[in-house]
Amino acid sequence: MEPFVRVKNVSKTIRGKQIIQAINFDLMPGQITGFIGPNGAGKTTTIRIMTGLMKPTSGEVEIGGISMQQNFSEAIRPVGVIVENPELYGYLSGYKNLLHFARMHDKVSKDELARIIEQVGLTDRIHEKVATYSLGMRQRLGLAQALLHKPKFLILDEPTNGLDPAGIRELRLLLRKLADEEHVAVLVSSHLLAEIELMCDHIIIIQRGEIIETRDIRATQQSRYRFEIASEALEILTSYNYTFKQLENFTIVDIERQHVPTLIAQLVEQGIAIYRVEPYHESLEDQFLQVTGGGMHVPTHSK
Amino acid sequence: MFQLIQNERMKLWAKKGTWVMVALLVLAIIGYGMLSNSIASDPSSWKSDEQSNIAINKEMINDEGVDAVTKKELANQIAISEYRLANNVAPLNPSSIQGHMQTAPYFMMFVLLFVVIIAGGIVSTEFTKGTIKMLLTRPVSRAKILASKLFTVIEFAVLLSIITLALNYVVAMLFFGNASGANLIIENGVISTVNIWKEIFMSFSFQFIAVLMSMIFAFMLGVVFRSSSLAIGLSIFIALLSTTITMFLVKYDFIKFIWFAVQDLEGIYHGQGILDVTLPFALTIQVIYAFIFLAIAFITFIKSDITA
Repeated sequence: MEPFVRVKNVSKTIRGKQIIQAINFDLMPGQITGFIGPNGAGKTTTIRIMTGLMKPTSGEVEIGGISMQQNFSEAIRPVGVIVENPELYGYLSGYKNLLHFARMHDKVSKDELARIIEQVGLTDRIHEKVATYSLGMRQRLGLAQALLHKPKFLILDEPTNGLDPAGIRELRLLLRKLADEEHVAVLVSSHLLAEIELMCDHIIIIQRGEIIETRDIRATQQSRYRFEIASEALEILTSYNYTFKQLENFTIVDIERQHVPTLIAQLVEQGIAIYRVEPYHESLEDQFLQVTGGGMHVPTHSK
Repeated sequence: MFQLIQNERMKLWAKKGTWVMVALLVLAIIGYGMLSNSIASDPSSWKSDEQSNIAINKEMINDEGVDAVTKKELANQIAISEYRLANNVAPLNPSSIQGHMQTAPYFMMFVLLFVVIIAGGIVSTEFTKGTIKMLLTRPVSRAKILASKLFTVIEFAVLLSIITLALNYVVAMLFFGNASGANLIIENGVISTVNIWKEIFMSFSFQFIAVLMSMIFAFMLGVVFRSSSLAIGLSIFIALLSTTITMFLVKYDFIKFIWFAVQDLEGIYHGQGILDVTLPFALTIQVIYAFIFLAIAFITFIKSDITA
C-alpha cells in the first residue's frame, strides 16, 4: 500500500535554534499512528509544519502525493486538524462555528452537518454559544470541525485533553471506525502513553527534534514471565540457557507458557525460594522510558 | 471568496461591540440634531450683526501690529459684509438643512474611531484567541483570507459613512427648513456664492479618505504585531496628533512625503494646509502609502509562521 502522508527530510530552525532535524516518516491509510515524545521534543512544530501553519527550513511534506510546500490549498484539502486545544469562536453558537468552517470547504450539505453534530453528541446544545460549553464539549465541537469535510488524513494534537473517560473511549472507537471503514490515516500526538497504547497501531517517538524510534505496537511480543526469586537463581537460569534480565527486584525471563512449569521445577529442585511468577507484558510506558532513557521532561537542546 | 466574506460578516455582527458602535453613532447624530434645534439662533437680526461685524473689523484693521495677511483677510470680511447688506444676502443659517449638513462631516471622527477599532482587531483577535490555526488549515489561500477581512472592514467603513450622511440628512429635514441665506466667498476681489452642497460633498469625501487611511494603517499594524491594542492605539494616536507632529517637523522638507502630514485634505483644498502642497500631490501620497501598508500586511500574513 502507498503511504498517504510522507514527511521527507523536514528540518526547522527558528532563530538559529534547530527545533527538528531531518525528520522522515510515512503514514498509511487506515492506520492510527501515535506521535509521542517528551515535552519540547518538537511534536508541535512537526504538526504545525504538517498542517501548513509553519514552513519547514528544508524538506517537504506530501499529502496524497501533493507537496504542501508547492500547492498548499490542494495538499490541505483532505486534512482534518485539531492543533492543541480546539480554539473556537466563543461568541458564535456551535452551529455557526461549524457553518463558518464548512464554508471554507467545497461542499458540506446541511444534512452532512447535522449528521456530524449527531455523531459527536452535540445535537442538544449546538445552537448555544460556545463560550458556555465545557472543555469536553469544545473538544467534541473541535472534532466535528475536523471531520466535516470527510478527511482522508486526520491530525490530532492532544485530543483527549478535557475529555472524560467515556468521551475518551468514544473518541477511541470513532478513530478506530474512521481508520477501519474509511481508511483514514490518523496521527495522534499525546503524552498520555496509556491512551496511545489503546488507540494506536504504530508509534513514532521523537526526542530532541529527531525520530529515535518507529515501531508497530500491535506486533506480538516475545512471551515473557516475571519472577520474584532469590538472587542465587540467576546462575541456574544461565546454566539452563534462558534469556533473562533484571528489572528492579524482578527477573524477566523470555519463556513460552508451556515451559514455565519446567523452569519452576528446575528452580525448586535447586532449593531456590520462589515468591511470585506472573506473565509479563511490557507497557508502552516501559518501552518509551527505555527508548528515551528518562522521564517525560527530558531537557531539550541547550543553546 | 463570497463565502469567506460571509464568514467575516457573521463574526463581525455576532459581537455586541459592533452593534454598540452603530448605536453610539446613531445616538450622537440624533442627539446633536436635537441639541442644535433647541439652541437655534434667531436669523432675523443678521443685518445688525453684520453692521457690528463691519465696525469691529474696521477698528481692528487700523490697529498697529496687524500684519499684511491679516489686514487683507479683514478687508475681505468687510467687503463680504457690505455686499450682504447691499444685496440683502443673509449668511447661511446653521439651523437650516444646509447649515446642519455642513457639520455632518465632523461625525466622521466617530466613524474613524470605530472603523480603526474593527480594522485593528479583525486579524489580531484571530491570533490572540488561537482561532487562526483553524482558519489557516483549510483549502483556502492566506491571501484570500486576508482579502476577505480587508473587504469586510471597508464594507463596515462604507456602511458607517452612509449612516452618518443619511441620518444627518434625515435629522436636518426633521428639525430644519431650507436655508434662506448663502455662504459667500471672495476670490480676486470678486464675490460669489458658494455651492453649499458641493462643499458638503467634498468635505465628506476628504473625511472618508482619512477614515480609509487610518483603517488601512490599523489593519496593517494588526497583522504585523498581532495585537489589537497596539494597532488601535497607534492609529488613533496618529490620527489625533498628526497636526501637532507636522507642526513640530514643519521645517524639514521630507515631512510632506509622510502620509499623515498631508492628510488634512480639506485644509489643503481650501489652501489653508500646514504644508504648501497641492491637492493632487497629497492624494498621490495617500494612495502610495495605502499600497505600501497593504503590501506589508499581505506579505507578513502570507509569509509568517503561525505560533499562536
